[in-house]
Amino acid sequence: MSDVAIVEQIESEAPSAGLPSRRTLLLGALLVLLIIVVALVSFVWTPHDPTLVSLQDRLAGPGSSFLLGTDQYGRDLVSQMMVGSRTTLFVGIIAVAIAICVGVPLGAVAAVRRGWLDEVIMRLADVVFAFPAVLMAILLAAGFGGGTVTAMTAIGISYVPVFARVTRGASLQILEREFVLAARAYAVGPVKNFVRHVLPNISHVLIVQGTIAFALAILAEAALSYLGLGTQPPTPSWGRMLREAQTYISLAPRLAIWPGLAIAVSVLGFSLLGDGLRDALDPKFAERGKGPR
Amino acid sequence: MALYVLRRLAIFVVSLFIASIFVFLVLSVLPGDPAQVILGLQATPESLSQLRRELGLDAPLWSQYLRWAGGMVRGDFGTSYISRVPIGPEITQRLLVTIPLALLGMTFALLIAVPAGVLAASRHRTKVDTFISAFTQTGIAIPAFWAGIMLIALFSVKLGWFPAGGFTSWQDAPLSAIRSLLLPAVSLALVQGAILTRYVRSTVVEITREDFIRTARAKGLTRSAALWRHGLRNASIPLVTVAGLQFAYLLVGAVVIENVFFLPGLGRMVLQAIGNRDLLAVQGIVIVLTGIVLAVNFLVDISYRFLDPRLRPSG
Repeated sequence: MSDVAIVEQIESEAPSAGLPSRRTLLLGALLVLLIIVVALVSFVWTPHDPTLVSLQDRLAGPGSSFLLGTDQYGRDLVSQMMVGSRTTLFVGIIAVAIAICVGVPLGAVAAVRRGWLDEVIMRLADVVFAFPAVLMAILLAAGFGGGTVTAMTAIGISYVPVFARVTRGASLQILEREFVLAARAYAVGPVKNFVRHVLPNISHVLIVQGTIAFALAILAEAALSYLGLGTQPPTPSWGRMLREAQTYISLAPRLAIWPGLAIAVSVLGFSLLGDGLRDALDPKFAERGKGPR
Repeated sequence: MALYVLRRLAIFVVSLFIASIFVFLVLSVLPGDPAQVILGLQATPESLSQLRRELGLDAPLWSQYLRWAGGMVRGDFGTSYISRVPIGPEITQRLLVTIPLALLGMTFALLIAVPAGVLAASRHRTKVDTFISAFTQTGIAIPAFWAGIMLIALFSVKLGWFPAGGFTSWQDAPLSAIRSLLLPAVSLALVQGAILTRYVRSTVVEITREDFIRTARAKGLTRSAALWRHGLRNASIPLVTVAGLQFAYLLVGAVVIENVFFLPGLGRMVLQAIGNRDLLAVQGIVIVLTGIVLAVNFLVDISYRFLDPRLRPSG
């Protein structure tokens, strides 16, 4: 087994453990839905203006006017966190989209063509795999400056190898099947054949991998924003809020608690959803789960 | 076997070569001009071009790359454009914080993962299993740096048991150096431990279904005894592999955690270098980290060939 395959196994095959898969799926879906709803609501309504500086309200405790209190500039914590969920979802969506749009075609070409092209693509994937998302972002931030775009691009690029690997592996099995061979016998071109016959049969693997990559992208974005290389002020972002909260940790620890919880809940939501979807979509896992003791 | 090791070694060298080209290109094909950064906006065109000549920036890209890569092979990472200090010795100095931190984190992670994973597997599909699984699910979702901030809030601010950050050098006070690494290592281990626990559990569950466990049970061993005595030994090879591969993430995690606890490791150095636009230093640090990741992958790849008798060629 190659290095990448093993790591993928940790990410994608670690079984959803003892939790019943139906409940996993439901809980994950609920948490994800919650974050999406909060992000959507924040476009039309937040309790206060999230960026409004009001010095007489600085470090106000939780209460009726500010549900979770305010930060060192008197900005409302709830409003900032609501708007921060937008940043989180936006970065996750773009990063996963980059990883899929580059990784899937590369994996497909490797699987269909085989030979030296396969070898070259997969070796390059191994090299990129040696740059975890945060390292990639450090490199890009040094070159192009930190920011949301840098973070999304770096996270996206670092997950390309995973999608290339998964696509290649899953496609190789499907490409052997009769209906694909039959289509080829009817002189269906390789691109059309792949899109029409292989892609639908590996889409469940990609959906699961995409959901898990989304969870990891949230973690990476939070770390980058904490380091000051991701989302820049005044745009609220959970990682950024934690960076500022650490200064006031002895005065107002709650400033560091809530954004961290928000990150953990989102990551948990997406990873539970990924695990649940895998059990629901992939009959192999369902069977394995029901195996003898 | 020798052929296999040589092949892996060749892949390692080629990968490092490609990675170095990639790192070099990202930081070289930039609009920014290091000479301008050093001399500031008021610099005259003459002094700029003179400095560029001194730094070798007027040479074609490929020759700049060769100079940089050739220097690194000899252990010379160049001299910082900004601080005018050689980069290599500083990286070595910083590694003395980052590597022990990552190793300590991995040790703690394994101390959590092995007992928890085997326990969950031996109580497969019971409340204990579900509890441990829920715990690891949550652990994986927590950002390590947030765990660090929370540990500071509890153990440094509230209880005052540990320093909230900073580091005394190994030479001055080795014990207090370890003490300042403890909280950061625990923050890393909480997350890594959760990931590894899931892995240990699923590996041991697979092994439970093996014939030799059935034999051990038939011999009269209890379920747990069979697992601890025969199961763990068989699970150890994949575990070594996974722990090795996870080391890459731990190393990067350490880079982030250093900034939470103000530890003078590579992570703080690289952020300072980015802040100063000290690109040569960033280049050096990134390539060292990548080199370590690739080297660990290489060692893991060949080590499990050695560890697992089934993978050794019979001839």
